Amino acid sequence: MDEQQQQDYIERYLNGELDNAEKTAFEEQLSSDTSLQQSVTNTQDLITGIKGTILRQEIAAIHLEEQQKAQFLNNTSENDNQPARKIYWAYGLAASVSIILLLWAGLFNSPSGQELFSEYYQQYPNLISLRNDDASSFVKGMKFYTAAQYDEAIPLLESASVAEEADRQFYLGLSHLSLQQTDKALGYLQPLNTDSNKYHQQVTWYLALAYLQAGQKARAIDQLRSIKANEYQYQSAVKLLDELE
Amino acid sequence: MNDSEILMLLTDNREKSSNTAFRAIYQQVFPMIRKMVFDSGGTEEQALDVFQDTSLIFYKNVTGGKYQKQSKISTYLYSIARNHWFVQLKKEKRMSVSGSIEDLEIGQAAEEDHAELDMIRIVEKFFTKLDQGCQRLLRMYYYDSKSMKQIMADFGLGSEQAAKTKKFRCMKKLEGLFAAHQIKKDSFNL
Repeated sequence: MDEQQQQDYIERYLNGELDNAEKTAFEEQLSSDTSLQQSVTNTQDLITGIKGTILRQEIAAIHLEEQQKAQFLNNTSENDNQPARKIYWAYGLAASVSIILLLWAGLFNSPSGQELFSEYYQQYPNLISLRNDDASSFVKGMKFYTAAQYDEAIPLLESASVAEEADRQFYLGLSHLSLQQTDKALGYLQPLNTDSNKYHQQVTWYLALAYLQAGQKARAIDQLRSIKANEYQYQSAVKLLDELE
Repeated sequence: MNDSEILMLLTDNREKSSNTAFRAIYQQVFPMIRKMVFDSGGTEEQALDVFQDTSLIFYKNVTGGKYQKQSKISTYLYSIARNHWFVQLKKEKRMSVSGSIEDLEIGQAAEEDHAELDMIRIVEKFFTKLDQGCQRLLRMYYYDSKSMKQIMADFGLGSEQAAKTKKFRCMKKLEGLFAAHQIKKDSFNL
C-alpha cells in the first residue's frame, strides 16, 4: 500500500466506511504501529482544523453582513421619519436601474453576452488569510468583498498596501466585474494575464467573462480556447464555447 | 426560525444549510454574547471570537449527538459562551481566581474544547498559507462535502483519480506545515 492509499484508508476508517473485516485488520495494525497511530491522529486533527477554519470564516462573513444591515437600517431610521417608505423608494429605484441596465445590455451588447455572463459568473471565493484583529484597509476591503459589498470593498482595496500586489489587483478586478464596470475590471485583470502570475488560470477565465460582458465575443472565445484541460474552469469553458460558437 | 428548524439545517449536508442555521443562531445569540463580553471589558473582536468558538463547539455537540435538546439552543449556546469566555479571561489573568470562575465550576469539557479550538487555530494559520487551489479543493471536499467527481469537473481534471491525487498532495502540504510546527513546539518544551 503506497502513501496515498494509506491516507485514503485512514480517512475511510475515520469516516466509518471500512467494512467489519477491514476495520478489524486496520485496528489490529493500529494497536502495534505507533507511526500509523500518529498518522491517524494527525489526519483527524487536520480534518477538524480545516472544517473549523472554514466555519470560522463563514461566521465572520455573517457577522460583517449583519453589522452592515444593522448600520443601513440605523442610518435609514435616523434620516427619515418614514423608514419603510424610504426603503420601498430605494427598492423601486434599484429595480428601475436594473431594468435600464438590462435594456442597455440588450441594445449594445451581443444578444446573449449578458445572459451568458450572468449564467456563468460566480464570485471567486476570498482565499486570502484574514485575521479578525487586523484592521488594515486590505483586510477590511476583503471582508466587504466576501460579503459581496463591492462598492465598499473597492475604495479600501484601492488604497491598501499589500505584500502581494497581485492579490489587490485580482480582487479589485473581480469587484468591478461584479458591478458590471467592465472597463475598470479589464484594467486590473489584463496585466495579470501572464504565465508567471499566480492568478493566471483564474484571470484567463474571468477575462473571458469580462469580454463577454463587454460584448466582445471574439476576444472571449480566444480566452476560452486558451484554457487547457487541467486548468481552472476548463469544463465550464468548453460548455461556454459550445454556446458561443 | 425555531430550534427544530436550526437543528434540521445543521444536520443537513446540503450546501448553504449550515450557513442559514448559523445566521439564525447569530441573530438570536450574538447580542447576548456581545453584552457579556463588553460587560467584562472585552471588545467587539473578542465577542466575535467567542461567538465563532461557541458555534464550533455547538456544531460539534450537535453532530456528535451531545446536544440532546436539554435546553433551548440560545440558553445552551450562552452557557458554552460564558464558560469559554471565562476560560479566556482566566488565561489572560483578567479575572481573580477567587471570583466568578469558581462559582461557574468550569468543567473539564470546557477545557478540552478549548484545547481543540487552539488546535483549530494552528491549522487555520497553515491552511491559509496553502495556495488558493488547495484551499478551495480542501474546502469543497471536507466542508462542502463535494464528491471527487464534482471536484474533478470543477478543476477541469481528467479523472477522479487525478482529483484524489490533487487532494492527497494538498493534504500532504498541510500536514507538512502542521508537523513542522509540532516538532518545533516539542523541541521548545524540551
